Amino acid sequence: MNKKIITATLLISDGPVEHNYFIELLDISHNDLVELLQEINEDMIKIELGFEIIIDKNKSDIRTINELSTYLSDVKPPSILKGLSTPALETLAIIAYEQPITKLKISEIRGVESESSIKTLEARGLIDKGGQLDVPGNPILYITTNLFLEKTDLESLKELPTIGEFFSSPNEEE
Amino acid sequence: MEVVKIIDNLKDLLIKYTSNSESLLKEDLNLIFNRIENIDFKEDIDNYAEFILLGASLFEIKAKRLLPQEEEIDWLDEVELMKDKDLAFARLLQFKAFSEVGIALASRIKNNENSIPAFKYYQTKDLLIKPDIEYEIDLEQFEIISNEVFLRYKTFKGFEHIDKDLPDIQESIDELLKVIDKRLNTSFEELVLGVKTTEEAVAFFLALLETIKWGFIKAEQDNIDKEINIEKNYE
Repeated sequence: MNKKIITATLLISDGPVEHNYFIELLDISHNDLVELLQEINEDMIKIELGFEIIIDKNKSDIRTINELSTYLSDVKPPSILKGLSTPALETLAIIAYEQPITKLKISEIRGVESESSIKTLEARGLIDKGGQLDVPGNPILYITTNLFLEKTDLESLKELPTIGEFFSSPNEEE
Repeated sequence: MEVVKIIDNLKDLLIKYTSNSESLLKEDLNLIFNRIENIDFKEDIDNYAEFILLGASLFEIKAKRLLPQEEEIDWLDEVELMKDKDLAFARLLQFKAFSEVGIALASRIKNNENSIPAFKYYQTKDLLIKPDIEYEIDLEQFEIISNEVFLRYKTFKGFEHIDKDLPDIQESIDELLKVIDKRLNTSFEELVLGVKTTEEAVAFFLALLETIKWGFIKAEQDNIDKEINIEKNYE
């Protein structure tokens, strides 16, 4: 029964499912849960299903297997990268590393206005408004979303590789 | 070995000029550059690079000496300039790094998209652009607003005021830039002297705002009663 509950939950859940959720729901230990997840994966391999459960440290998700990628090109949802320009990617990188960050600061780093890139990234769900800065005008602060972490296969922002020890925003001296 | 000799000469020159010698830099430089004209540098890329560096340094010194020397250069200004250069360079490096990280992130996302998760609702709920301000109203407020709107609607005389043939902002921008190019210095009041309607004047004003935003021109108004002075931005 547990395997059925796990697979059904993973299929309809809104994103990866935290292990703690299953542990409480099924009243099992973490090790037992991981074993169950692995068993489900073995079962799926045996009956040649096209999915697998990606088991992370704290959460799991059900996904299609990599080797099917080319066969799914006609039916899979469009890539989140589709239509994303290089400026938008630059903006995404800046927000990822400097968040929470205002639009003005992004434009300052890029040297050009970044309004449209921010809107595009926001529409794709890769960034979101994460509060306001407590200064006159209360500019909006932008942060990356869980979708960004999922799409970049990162557990948390801490996993973003360091660009350089001395690399931080060069600020004009007061 | 001729190249090595030339480079040694250049080094000597550099030492001589940085130690404030009064020799004629121009003559020495010409002499050296005449000698290297027929030399094939392809044989040694390292020497060639060193030559370029030394030559550039000498030219920089020469260029500085061409500047008026009477005024004393404030070393604090020089330091400030160096700070600005440093900041500009740091920003350039930072921007370059973020550009590359952006491409790396895209490649990571692309690889990760080879496996597709089961349909998740949150992937679609954000597809519509959210407004910057979310305004919540209850039924009572809605009634007040709608009453006000309908009341205003009754005062409308028709839609003629909307259906006017309004002037094109882009055309006004082009026109404005043309005038500024010719006159260099002018005022907004002077510019709108020739227009026939209020709408055209408004279009000119919007064009002015746009061109200031783009950095093509600069505008200044000391006081609300004074004219808006306009000049071409050479920065």
